[in-house]
Amino acid sequence: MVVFSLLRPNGPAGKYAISMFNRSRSVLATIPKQGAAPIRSMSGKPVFNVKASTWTWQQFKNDLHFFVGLGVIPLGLLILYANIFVGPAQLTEIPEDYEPYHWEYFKSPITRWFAHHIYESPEEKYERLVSYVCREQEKIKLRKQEQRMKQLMYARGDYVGWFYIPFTDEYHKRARTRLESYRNQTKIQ
Amino acid sequence: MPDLNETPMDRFRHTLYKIIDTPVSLFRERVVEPNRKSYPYYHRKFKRVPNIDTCDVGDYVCFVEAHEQFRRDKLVESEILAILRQRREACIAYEGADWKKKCQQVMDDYTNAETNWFIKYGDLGAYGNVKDAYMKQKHRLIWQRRHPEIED
Repeated sequence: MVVFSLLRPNGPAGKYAISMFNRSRSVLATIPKQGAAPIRSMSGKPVFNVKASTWTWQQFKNDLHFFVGLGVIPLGLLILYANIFVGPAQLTEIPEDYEPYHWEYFKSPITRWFAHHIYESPEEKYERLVSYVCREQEKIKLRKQEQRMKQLMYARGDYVGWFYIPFTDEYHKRARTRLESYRNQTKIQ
Repeated sequence: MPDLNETPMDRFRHTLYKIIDTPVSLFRERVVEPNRKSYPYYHRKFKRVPNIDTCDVGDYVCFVEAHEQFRRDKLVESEILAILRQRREACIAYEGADWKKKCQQVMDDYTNAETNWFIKYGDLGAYGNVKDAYMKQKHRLIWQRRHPEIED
C-alpha cells in the first residue's frame, strides 16, 4: 500500500495537478481544499448549512440577560435608593408612654417595609396563641365538669338526667284491660 | 498639617490609602449623607410574666406565657455564655504561654456560668418545656435533701 505518494493532492505533484486543472475550468467549479466546507446556496433552494451548535452560547446569553436585566439591575437600583435616599434607622430609647409599631424595631428600611406590609406582628401572633389557649381552657373546664356530673348521677341515681328513661303506663294499662276482659269472657261459661 | 515624624514611607502609604479611600469617602459625604433621612428604631423590651412556680395546675394560659419567657431567657443566657466563652478564648490567645497563671479568673467565670446553664437548661432535649425544667429543679432539690453529705 502506498503510504507516501507524490501524486497525492497534498503533495507537490497533486498541487500542480490541481492548479493546472483549476486554470482550465471556470472559477465556480474549483475543487475545494480538503477539510473546507463550502457555504454557497447557489441553486436557489434552501440548503442545510452544517455548522456546530450554538445552543450553549445562546442559553448563556439568555441566562445573563434574564438574571442581570430582571434581577441585578432592578434590585440593585432598589437597594441603592433605600440606602442613599432613605438610609438606616438610628437606635434610640423608647420614649415614655409611646408604644412603637412592630416594624419600628428594625434598622434597615427594606426589612421595615417587609415587617410593615408583609409579615404579621409578633405581638398579634402571641396574643392569638394565648387567646386560643384561653378558649380551649374554658372548654376543658366545662368538659371536666360534665364528666364529673355524669359520674355522680350514675353513682347516686338521684337525678333525672342522663340515665333516666321516661316511661308511661298508658299503653300497658290499655293492654291489661283488654287482656282482663278477654280472660273474663273466656272464663264465664 | 505636616506631621513631624512622618517618613517618606508613611507618606507613600498614606497616598496609596487616599487613592482608594477618597472617592468612596467623598461619595458618602457629598451624595449619601445629605440625602438620608433620620428616623429611630428601638430595641424590643419584654415584660416579666409570672413564672411557672406561681401557675395553677389547670392554667394553660399561664403555662404558655411562662414557656415563652423560658425560651427567651434561654436565648439570652446562651448569648451570655457565648460572650464569656469568647473572653476566655481571647485571654488564652492573648497571654500565650502563661495562660494558666493569668487567665484563671476568666476561666473560672466561664466554668461557673457553664455549670449553672447546664443545671438550668441541660438535658431537657429539643422539646423540653418550662414544666420539665421546673420538675428537674424539684428532683435536684430532693436529691440534695437526700444526700446532705455531698455539698457543692
